Amino acid sequence: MIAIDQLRKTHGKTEVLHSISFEVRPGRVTGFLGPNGAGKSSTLRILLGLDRATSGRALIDGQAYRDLRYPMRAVGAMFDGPGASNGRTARDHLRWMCQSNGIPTERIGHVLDLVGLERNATHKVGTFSLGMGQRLGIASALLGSPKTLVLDEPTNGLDPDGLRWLRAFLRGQAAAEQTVLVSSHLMTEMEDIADDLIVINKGALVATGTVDTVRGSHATLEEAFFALTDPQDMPAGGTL
Amino acid sequence: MNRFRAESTKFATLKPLWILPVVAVVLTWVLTYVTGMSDVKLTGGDFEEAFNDPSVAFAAGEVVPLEYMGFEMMNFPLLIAIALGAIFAGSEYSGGMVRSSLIADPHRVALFATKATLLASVVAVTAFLSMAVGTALRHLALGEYGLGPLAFTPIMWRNVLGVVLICTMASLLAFALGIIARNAIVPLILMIPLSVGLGDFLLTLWEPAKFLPPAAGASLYSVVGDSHLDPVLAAIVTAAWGLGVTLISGILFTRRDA
Repeated sequence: MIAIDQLRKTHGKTEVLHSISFEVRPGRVTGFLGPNGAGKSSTLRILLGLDRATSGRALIDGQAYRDLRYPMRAVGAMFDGPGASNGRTARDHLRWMCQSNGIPTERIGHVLDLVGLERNATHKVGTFSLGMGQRLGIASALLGSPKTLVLDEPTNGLDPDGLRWLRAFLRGQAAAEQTVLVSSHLMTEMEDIADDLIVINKGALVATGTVDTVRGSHATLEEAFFALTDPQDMPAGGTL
Repeated sequence: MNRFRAESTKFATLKPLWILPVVAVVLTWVLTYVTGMSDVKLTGGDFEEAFNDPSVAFAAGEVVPLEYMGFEMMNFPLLIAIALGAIFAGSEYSGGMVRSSLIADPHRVALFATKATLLASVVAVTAFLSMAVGTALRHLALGEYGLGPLAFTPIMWRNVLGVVLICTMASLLAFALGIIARNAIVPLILMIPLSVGLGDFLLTLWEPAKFLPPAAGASLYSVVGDSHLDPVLAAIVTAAWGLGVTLISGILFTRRDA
């Protein structure tokens, strides 16, 4: 389970997260939604130990990410693309990641096969398309067979085939009682993939609950999203 | 152990990082040998007489005592050590690599220490191979006019270790500056000019410039005048630059947001 507790982050005098709290439960796919600059990335960065919180805690199964001895065995994380050097091959990128966490390198072929990059294993990352880069990022998150997945905008650049695969994969992970947190700005995708939603705007939570709860009386999740994050643009008659 | 293996793999799988040490070693060997042969051809082996004849232009630039011959080529391993440090740091800040590094290994103190240790080890071995074998090759080229290629005197060993220290510390300094600036360009812009003449030029204008790297270490491998630091102080100042700035950048690496 992921627990965000009174998380606050400031950059100088600007407060980008206003003491937010929420939980992400196992066995569910949880979508983390918000417009650009809402605080999604700041929250995930703190959760993954990339940034420090000004106050509050972000825990995964009761532990801070920085305290995990072999984090990739517990948490599969993809943040802002593959995070790989352009001059390194996909296989070499995954190899050092395996070594850093004591993961058998046999997993490399398995995860590349899983994301459909088996033929590109020896290609340099710099030659990859955006979608291939996303697939590599997902592959790296899966290396350690983690119980928790934290994926930042994994659908970016994926083709329809990739989207379909990701949807089925994440549903499968949830069915296996894994904890899955996925940030996205694609409402339609989230509506199809997620069980629960967390909506954030201007550093504060504006809605949490099941997809149906967050959609409320709106015809679509997208409509509900705009009503939540920009109420002035809410269509006449819309309520939440 | 896992951490060192992972960082070694990163090093070995990025072409510039493994090509540069090979280039440093091979280039230094070739140049020390060729300049040795050239010097013999120019002087007929009588270096003492050539020393007093200003019309003789040595391939190596100047006449130096036999025990110091070959070490004028230390600029090659030095420049490549600086480039290695800068690129090793800069590669972490290209393509979001540092995020992957910290997601895989969030234990930042240990990660930074491992990176610095790996870099220092590679550069130390590269500098040692370049200068120790290069010096032997120089004396091989000098033939009967040189020293026994394998019979290093204490001064020659001191010179070899001096170059190893200077290169290792310069590389760490470039790495540290690259981590602070989050790119490879800043350390290259700051350090390359100091290594190819600006340091000596500054010394003619401003006496405290003798404390700047890498000129601070000049007496560790060459015959220098009173304008430079004595060898013991040179070693201390050179190490202080490398280790001090590495420590500062390590503190920054562990504390700031990625």
